[in-house]
Amino acid sequence: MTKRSYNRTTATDGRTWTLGLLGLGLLLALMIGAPTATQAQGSSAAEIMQQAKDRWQGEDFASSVRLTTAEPGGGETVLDVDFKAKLIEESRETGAFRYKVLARVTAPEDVAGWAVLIWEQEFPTPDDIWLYLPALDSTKKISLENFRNPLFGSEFVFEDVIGREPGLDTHELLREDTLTVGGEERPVWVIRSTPNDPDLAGFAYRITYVDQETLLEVRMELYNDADELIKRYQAEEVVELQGIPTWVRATAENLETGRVTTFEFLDPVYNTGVPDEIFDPENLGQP
Amino acid sequence: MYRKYLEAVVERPRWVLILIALVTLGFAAGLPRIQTDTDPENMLRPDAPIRVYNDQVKRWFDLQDVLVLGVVNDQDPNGVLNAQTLGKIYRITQKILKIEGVVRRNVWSFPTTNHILVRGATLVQERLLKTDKPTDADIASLAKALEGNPLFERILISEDRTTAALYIPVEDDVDAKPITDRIQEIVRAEGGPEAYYLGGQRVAEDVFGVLMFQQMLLLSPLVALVILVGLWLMFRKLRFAFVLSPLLIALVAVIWTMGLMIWLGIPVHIMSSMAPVFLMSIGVVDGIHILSEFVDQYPKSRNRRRAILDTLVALKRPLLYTSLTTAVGFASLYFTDIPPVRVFGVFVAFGILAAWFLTITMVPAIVMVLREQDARELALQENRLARALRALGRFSTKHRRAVLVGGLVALLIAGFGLTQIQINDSPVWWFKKGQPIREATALLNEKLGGTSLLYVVAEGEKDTMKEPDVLRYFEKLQRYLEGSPLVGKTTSLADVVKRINEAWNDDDPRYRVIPDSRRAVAQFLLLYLSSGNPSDLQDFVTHGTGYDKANIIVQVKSPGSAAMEQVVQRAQAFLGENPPPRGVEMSFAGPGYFNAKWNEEMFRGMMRAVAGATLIVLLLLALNFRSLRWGIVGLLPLGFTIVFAYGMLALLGVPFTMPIEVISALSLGMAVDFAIHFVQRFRERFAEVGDVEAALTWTMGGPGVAILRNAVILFVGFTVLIFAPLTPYITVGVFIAIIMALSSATTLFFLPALIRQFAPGLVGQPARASQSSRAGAAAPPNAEAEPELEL
Repeated sequence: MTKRSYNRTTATDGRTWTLGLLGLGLLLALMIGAPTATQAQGSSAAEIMQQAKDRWQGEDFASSVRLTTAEPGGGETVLDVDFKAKLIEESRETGAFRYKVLARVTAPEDVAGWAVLIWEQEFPTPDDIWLYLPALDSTKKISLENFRNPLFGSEFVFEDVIGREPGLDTHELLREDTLTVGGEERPVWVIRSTPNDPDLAGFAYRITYVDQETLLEVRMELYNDADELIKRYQAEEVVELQGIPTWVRATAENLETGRVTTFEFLDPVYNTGVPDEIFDPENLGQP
Repeated sequence: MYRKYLEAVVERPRWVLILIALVTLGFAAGLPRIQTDTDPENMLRPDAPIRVYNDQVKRWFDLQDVLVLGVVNDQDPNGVLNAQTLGKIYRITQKILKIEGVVRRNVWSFPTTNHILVRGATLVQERLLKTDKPTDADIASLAKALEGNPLFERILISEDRTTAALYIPVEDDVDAKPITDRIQEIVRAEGGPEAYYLGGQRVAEDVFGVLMFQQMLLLSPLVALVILVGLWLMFRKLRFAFVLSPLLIALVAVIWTMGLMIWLGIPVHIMSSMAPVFLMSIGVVDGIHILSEFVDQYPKSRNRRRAILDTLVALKRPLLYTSLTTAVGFASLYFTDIPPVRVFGVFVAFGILAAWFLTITMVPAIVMVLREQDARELALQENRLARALRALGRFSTKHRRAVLVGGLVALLIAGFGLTQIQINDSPVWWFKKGQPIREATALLNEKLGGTSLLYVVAEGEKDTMKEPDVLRYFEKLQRYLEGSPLVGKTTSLADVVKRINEAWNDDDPRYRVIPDSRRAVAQFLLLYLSSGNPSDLQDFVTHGTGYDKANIIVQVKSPGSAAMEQVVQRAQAFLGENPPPRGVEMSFAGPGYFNAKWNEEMFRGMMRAVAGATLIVLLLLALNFRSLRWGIVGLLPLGFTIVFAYGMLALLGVPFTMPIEVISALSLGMAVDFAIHFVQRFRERFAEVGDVEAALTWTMGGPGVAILRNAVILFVGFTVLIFAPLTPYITVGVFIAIIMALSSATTLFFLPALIRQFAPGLVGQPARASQSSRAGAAAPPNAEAEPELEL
């Protein structure tokens, strides 16, 4: 089992790992000319955000997901989802890795089969997002304006599944800092991003905390134009899985309503050979 | 003891007055810390079941009190659907979203409302209005989105398209007045040709709270001034300060009472804001009796010290017992279930006792501060009034049978009227016609679904609300309710599901139906949650806690409690004949429903309280007179006044509102006072002269004059309230005037006839005595004992 929690990482391990990454980064930089995490220290905020978005997430990925939304007045909704992702072959060469994602509800029973399919596209082409309703056996696409709509009615939005396209915003590096993630202090870049088109945002600006070593976005805060914090995303548990830093539990909290959704990967695994056909919008009716 | 106390006061009048001034200042120092409470919810106890359920429903469905802003453009052929007006609506909404205390997530207006449609193979969810500079295409697509959509028609837009509405929910614990002020500012900045109307029950309540105090500040001095002029006209020759004393006493009593309330940290409610008006009228009464008696006493001794002591000793029992009975009557309101009524009752009782204490202390002190020659200049021109009243008394005793039968008939008619009472009130009606809030509500009710809200709440098991048969049941109930002209609009989860079905199926109206399976409903709902703001669905169903409860929003076109009551009865009739499927239980809640319920509770509570208080007053009267029969006689003017005043109102079809009910307590104060003075003085006089008619004639000419003066002064004083812009004060003014007229009339007209008729039973007086007095009717037999004061 290669799954290893940062909680148990010793100082030596951390250094070894950092050095290893540094080496790998230098190598990669030589190979494909992309800036690496460590190099990015001197690079622009936009580049950091782009690297975070483009990072390697394996050939494919599969896991069951549990989405638990707690209501402020008590009570919660639980949705079980079968989650699969696969690298889009054409992106392998560019180093800006893009994926296809299929999230299909497995419980509760009356919405089982309900699915969301996402094809990540190269900016500025908007991603493709399809919805599938099993009761009507029918599929429809959703438009770019609706990417920030709630995912299965939770506090996460469609866009969060694959990460917001950095090209939609203007980025500014505020500072470097440390942030406790899953009980461990992590070095982070703190970046403020302002949407170029407010109609495609639903927030005035956001502040993202990008882990300097893993390039994972470990915290994100959305603000309205009155500078009030309206939503906060937080990676609660991060592991290294088959060599790939992966968050396995994250929360999204709506500060206006008090609603909180927890997103958990229950049995995540990379590189199991997820078949390509399931990501065909024409095939969403096949189980 | 009483006399010793009076003598002590008379010895050092200046010290007494200074001490009272200091105490009054102490109470007054608290006044600026006043807190107000205009929330009608507080009319019921926090643990009252309706209130608990209402709060629960608000939490389940994330509902708040809503301000409604109507934007009207009746000049443009397209109504509000033109670029300029829509631009204004967009900007106004954006500014409103920034106001502190507004619940942003639930603001409902074109720019904040999502609409689902299908464009080609793409499902699009977009805001109805995305910019303040909409193009013709934007306007056309908005018009299309609104067309026939049950979630928008008559909610966001009127059928004739001249009126668009913005729904602005405000947090529960904030004062909506600054928010409404800010909204007024925002719309003023946008300007015409559009007209703007801001309405809703919450606006009424909170604006009322502010106006209430402005009005009290403005009107109280006006009432005081009118009373002062009245006093001066009646006791013209007396030194100003002395004439002023009844008013001064009333004002000091008001300051003590309100000061105490505020020092104790009790917020002033709509109800207790009326306490000053009550105390003013009750407080003045004692003083006028004293002035009247003093005018009679002074010529005997021509010594102000003796005259005032004699006056106060002669009035000892009536003063004490009128105050005591009235205070006990009001204090008994403590046993109602309505918290503001309890506070009101207890504090008015305190104020009455304070007024009694101030009367027996300040009046002698003020008299002593005057110079002897001031006191000597007495006005003795009341004889005409006294003569007229004595004549009235003689008429009444002579034609006693006719008078009593007449009174009985009037009472029976009024008694029938009591069975016809209609309760109908609304915070909106607390404002006069023509006031902006009232106009706004009228317009919104005419153009849109209605501003008075009823929630029909369905409770079932987990996932019950996704069942097609349950949703179809909602539809059926909605159509049935909409059959009433009072119901302007109903909206429920059924409408949402139908709309999504239609949208997913390429806006084909044939799909505007509830799908046949629970799976389809559940999947549409998940789609809706995935395509918009989850709070949009929260109004209709508890989607976050298992779809076990749903809310049907019913908009009623009249803000009154009677209209709401009718709609509720209609709903109950439907529920009775059509039991809900799957063991679903239906209940009612909502601001309009709550308003109707507390009015009902208030009415019942007040009626019970007044009945209880009357009983206690009867006991006290019987104790005072040491005779149950006399007690009943003393109570009759009160009973007659209440039955007659309320019966006649009901017969005239005047709906009962909160202030009308509250004033029933005032009749307790006034009518009993008059009767006690009358009966007490009559019996004392009778004990002296031993003749019923002679004693009656004397009573009419002496204490009767004081009673009439009281009635006239308060009648005139309170008619001033007619000029208030708030209807509760108008009602209070008119009704106090009516109560004054009735209770003085019953005391002065019916009591003589009654006492004469039942004299044998009451005083054991044989019939012959009356003959002797009738013989001497032209010249009173007690001419020496009671010298005519005519000069």
